Amino acid sequence: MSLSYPLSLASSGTTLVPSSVSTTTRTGKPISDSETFTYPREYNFPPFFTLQRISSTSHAQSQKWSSLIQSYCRFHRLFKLSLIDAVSSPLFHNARINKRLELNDAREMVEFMRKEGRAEWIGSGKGDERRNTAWIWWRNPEEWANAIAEWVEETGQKNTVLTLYELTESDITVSQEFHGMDPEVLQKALSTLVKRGKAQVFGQEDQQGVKFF
Amino acid sequence: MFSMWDQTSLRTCPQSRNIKCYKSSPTIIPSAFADTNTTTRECGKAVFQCPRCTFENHPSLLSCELCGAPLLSQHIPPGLDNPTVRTESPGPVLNNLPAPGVEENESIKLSFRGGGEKIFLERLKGSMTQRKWLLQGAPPVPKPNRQSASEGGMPLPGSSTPIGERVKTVGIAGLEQRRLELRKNNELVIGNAFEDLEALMASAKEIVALAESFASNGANGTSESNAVANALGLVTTKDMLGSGSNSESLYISELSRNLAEFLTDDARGVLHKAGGIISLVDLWAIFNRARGGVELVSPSDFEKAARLWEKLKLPVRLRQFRSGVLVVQGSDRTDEKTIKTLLVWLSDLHSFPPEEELAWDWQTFGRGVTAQDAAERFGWSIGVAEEELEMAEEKGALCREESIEGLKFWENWIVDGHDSNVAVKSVKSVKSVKSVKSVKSVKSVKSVKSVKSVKSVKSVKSVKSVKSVKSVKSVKSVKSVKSVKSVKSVKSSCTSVRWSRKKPFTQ
Repeated sequence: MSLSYPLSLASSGTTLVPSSVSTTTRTGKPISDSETFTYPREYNFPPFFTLQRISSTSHAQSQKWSSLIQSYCRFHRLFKLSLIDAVSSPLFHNARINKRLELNDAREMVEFMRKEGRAEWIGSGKGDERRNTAWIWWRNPEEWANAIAEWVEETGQKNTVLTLYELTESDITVSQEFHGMDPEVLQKALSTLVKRGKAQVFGQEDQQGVKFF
Repeated sequence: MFSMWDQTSLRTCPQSRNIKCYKSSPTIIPSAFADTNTTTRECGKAVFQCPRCTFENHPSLLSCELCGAPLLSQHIPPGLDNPTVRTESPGPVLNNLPAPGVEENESIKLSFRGGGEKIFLERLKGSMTQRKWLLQGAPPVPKPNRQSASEGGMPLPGSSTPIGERVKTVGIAGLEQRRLELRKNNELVIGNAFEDLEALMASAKEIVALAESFASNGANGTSESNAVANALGLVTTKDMLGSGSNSESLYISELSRNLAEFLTDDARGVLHKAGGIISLVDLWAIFNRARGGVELVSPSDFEKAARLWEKLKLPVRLRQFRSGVLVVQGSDRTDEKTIKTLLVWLSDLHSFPPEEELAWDWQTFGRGVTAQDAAERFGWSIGVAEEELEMAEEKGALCREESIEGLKFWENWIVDGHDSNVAVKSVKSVKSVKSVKSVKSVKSVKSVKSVKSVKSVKSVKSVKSVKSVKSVKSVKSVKSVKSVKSVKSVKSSCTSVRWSRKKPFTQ
């Protein structure tokens, strides 16, 4: 699925375009079917694992890490990242060149992503002990909501009721990116749709259903 | 007729004699003979000139106001008025010899006619300081002889101040007087001692002048005198230039030139040996060592001199790194050149296989270098190498890697296309661009005919017309585009795009 956002919106005739963006190809790395994740070139560059002190270089470094973390999480369908575990995973540890990003530096990178709107710390407070797990928004809830709404539109399921299980686990959505998504993220995505008045969520606990308008 | 008076009291010298200015003239007629005091001279002036001292007295006075000489009466023969026929004045006559050290307010009066008093005063002052009478076989300081002074000669008729009676030196007064004499004696002795010191100073100046001549001869060539001057290390010394604020700045500027010469001297090759850059502290040490421990230059003077290079337009410069370290380098050396040489070196490392197996793709990334490596390679000191590498890092040419092996610097592969344009202010027309890796900001573009591929553009403020763009990977923000004829593909655009007058894009 490939969205050419500025073009499609530009041709829709509006002079002012909202800034919401679809970023399927945002990082320029399509989800590959192959089993190996292709790391960016910088992943093999030793200084990439040292926080840079010069602001311009540091900014570029943060952007590259942000992009790497997002595509890594997308590839592995990770929604939540526990940094303590991740620092020993290949994401932050390149065994080949024997370099790793330290926990604190990894936190810095995720913090940069948070400012970009591509991550969110789980748990309140700002202390380091709280900054161990984060949502990685390789798609943020709003984008997920758009994707679901689009799918509903395409498949003509407006005004039908779907269970949340159906939406993410059943065969009907297997071709969709949101198939198998984290239930919490799904809740967040649906709640933005509810706010927009495009869906209604009812039921309790495991038996929740959703109706799209 | 003009008369000028200069009166000097001679009291500082113990040898001062009691001098009476006395002018005898046979034609003086005592004032008693002057029957009238309404004297007027032939010229009609209401003044009466004293025949002795030529002071122009008021006509009503009977004796001279200044010297006390009796004034002439009217009946004197007219020829006597003429000063040219006056007989030669006799020299001062000593009529009394008071003991030195005895306070006596005796004075001498000198009169000048038609100028000359200034020269006289000058000479008098000169001889007072020179005290030639001391040198010309003068007898040792005369011991006070109170007895001799007690009976002086009779005061001359007409003298203004008769010599007072000598005080008998007995009792407390006597003791006081003796102490006074002693003090006078001591003063004299001390005065002589200081004279010796002054003589020493004078000859010291001569020695310095000699050293200076050695130095200047050295510049002309003879190796011997050159060696002497160098041995003395007195090329620029503080003493040579004396003291005072003016000579202080002269000293600094001379030292500055001296230093620049020292640095650029090919025979020594100070700067060359240090890879064209040397820290100020190192240079200070080398410079003072070369002076052989004589006339060492203080650090503050040294720094002041180094700061003058730029002002004096000398071919060396003082440079301050961000950390505050001061270094000295040739004036032709720039950061850009240094970065260039560093990058050339680093790019060489892509092609030379490393000694040991490296985990990363060294053909792509090259190798990281430590300050030590750079110091060895360019002959810099470690401190300078660190600073230069950090300078290059700051400019974005290098990036750092910290590891257990220490801090290493690499070519900056983190920033994409670090040679690409960072900011383009305005482009009027571009006919065709094949590929642009990254542009951070473009303020205005008037027309672009064709662009084949642009990888990333952070912000574009306004574009008037674009005829065709084949592919753009990412654009963060575009404020206004007036017309676009065809765009083949734009992969992503992040923030608001405001199209004021657009034509449908064709995909």
